[in-house]
Amino acid sequence: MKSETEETGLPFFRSWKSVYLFVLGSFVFWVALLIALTKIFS
Amino acid sequence: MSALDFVVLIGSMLGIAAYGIWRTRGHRDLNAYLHGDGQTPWFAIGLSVMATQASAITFLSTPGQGYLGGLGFVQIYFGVPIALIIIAIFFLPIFRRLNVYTAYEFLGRRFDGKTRLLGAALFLVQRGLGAGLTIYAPAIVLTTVFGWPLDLTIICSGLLVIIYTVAGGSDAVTVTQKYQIGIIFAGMVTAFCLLVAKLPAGLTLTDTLALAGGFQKLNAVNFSTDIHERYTFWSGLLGGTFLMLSYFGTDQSQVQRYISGASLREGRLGLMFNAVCKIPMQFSILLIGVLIFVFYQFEQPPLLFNPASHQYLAQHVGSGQLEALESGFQKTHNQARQQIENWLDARHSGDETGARTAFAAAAAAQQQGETIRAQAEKTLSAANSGTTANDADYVFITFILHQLPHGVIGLLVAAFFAAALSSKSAELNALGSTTTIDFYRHLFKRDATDAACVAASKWFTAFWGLVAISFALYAHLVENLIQAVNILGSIFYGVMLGLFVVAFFIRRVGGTAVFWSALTAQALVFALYFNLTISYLWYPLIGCAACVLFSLMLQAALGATNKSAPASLVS
Repeated sequence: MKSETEETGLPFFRSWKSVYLFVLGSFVFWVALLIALTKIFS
Repeated sequence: MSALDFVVLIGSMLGIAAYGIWRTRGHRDLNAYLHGDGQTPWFAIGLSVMATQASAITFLSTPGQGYLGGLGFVQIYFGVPIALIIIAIFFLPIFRRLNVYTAYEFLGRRFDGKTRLLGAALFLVQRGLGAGLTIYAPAIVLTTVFGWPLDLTIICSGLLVIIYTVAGGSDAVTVTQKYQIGIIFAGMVTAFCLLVAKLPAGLTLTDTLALAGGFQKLNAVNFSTDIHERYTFWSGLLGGTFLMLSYFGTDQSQVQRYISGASLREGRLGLMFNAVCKIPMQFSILLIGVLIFVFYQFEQPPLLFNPASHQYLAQHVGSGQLEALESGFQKTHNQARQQIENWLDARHSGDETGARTAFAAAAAAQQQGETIRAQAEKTLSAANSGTTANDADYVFITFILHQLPHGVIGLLVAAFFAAALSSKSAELNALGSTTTIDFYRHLFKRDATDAACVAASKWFTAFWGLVAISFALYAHLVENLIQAVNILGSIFYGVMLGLFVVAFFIRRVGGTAVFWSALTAQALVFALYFNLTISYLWYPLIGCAACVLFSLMLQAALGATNKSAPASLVS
């Protein structure tokens, strides 16, 4: 698919797949942080 | 508010609007008016998408939700990253490849004219009905607190947004949103810093978190599988994904923001910016509410934050009863405060048993205070035929007004208006575009020139702006309508998404099958809504699933379509 091959233009994320993985990683990080807040302080 | 506050408020609002008009002067052709100049970079798209979603009530009410209910509301945004990734991979490339002005134009090319009109009509009904709310909701809160005339506030803010949106079109919306979101962030960060500075000197970060957590304000994630609970991990992840997919993927007010990027890359990065920032942003806003809760453990909070409710009680239930409620509330607060100070001393001296005992006593006193507050709300509701105090809307503004310095008050009120204008302008722009492209040009003037379409778009944008102002002016007479409009939005989105899911992913389904399936699915969602008590977050999922399933069944019954959808129109 042509659109998928378009460059991201980002220094550390050359492919769109890596961008999406980074986004999912940040999502997991925030959910883990919120779970930790819930478990530790409640 | 002082003169300085008014200078900050009026200067920033008029300045941004004037800049938006000046920057977009001379835009004459339809593409520039509806799509922008085609040079919009990813961060401007990202900020524009963010500003469109975040209305004034987001910044006014969310801290109040944090104060009253804790962090649990953040779960509603768990679907955002997944939804935006799906849109970036599947939706956006097709919208851009077809160079459509509206999302519903794509439905017309993929299916047929009637399905396009159905999608556009669903959008106009729900967004058009809700158009007044983005102006009314912050206006009613701010005028109640500051005593401004409600009608004048609605008309002035409404006319301002109409003028610059009509004048500059899509580019004016993007340009102004960039500065409006700057004011919003400046205001929220300033409020956060001043709030932290106002907490008692001996209170450390871990003390603050332990105190908030002890009162169950840090319960951010709830893994309950009870579908009647509104905010859970599962309703946020599953229902929230469908809700956000519907909103970001099929609502023209959002689609118009990210298809205006200079390239596919800019649109995608703008969406990914939101996918990364949305949860931390909402968490931070809720955290402000939690910190206000901690602050009010050491300062006397009002019995009810809504001054109108307090005034109504004073006038209608007798001063004796209100004084009794207030003195009881004050007494329990003083008891709770004393016990919290004991808890802090015991905690700092390492006395765990003493700390536990003191905190239990503080929690009991605090619970008594909450019972008195609930009693006041019940009394209000009984005296004023079911009216509720809506205290969540007034917590943050009360704190701002009574605890922050002049100048900062003006900055924060400017932030609330900036949020209202930024989401309103995107809505008006989308309503005007959809009416022009999907109805005026498609149904009545197929040979309309670009100039005629731009003129029509300006008139339709102004028309929807006036509809919004009119609705906002009369909204106070029909409080239940506001609730109805919010519910309408949540129950329409699923079927809208179903139309797009079939369009993108199920090549063999044609226009007739999806059209009748969408209507049947919508009827089913209505029927379920009136017979079930599940969280509204589930309706987008149900509506979408029903529309897809019915489409497959009906298409099977009708037989194969004469022509499959071209490969360029499906993912």
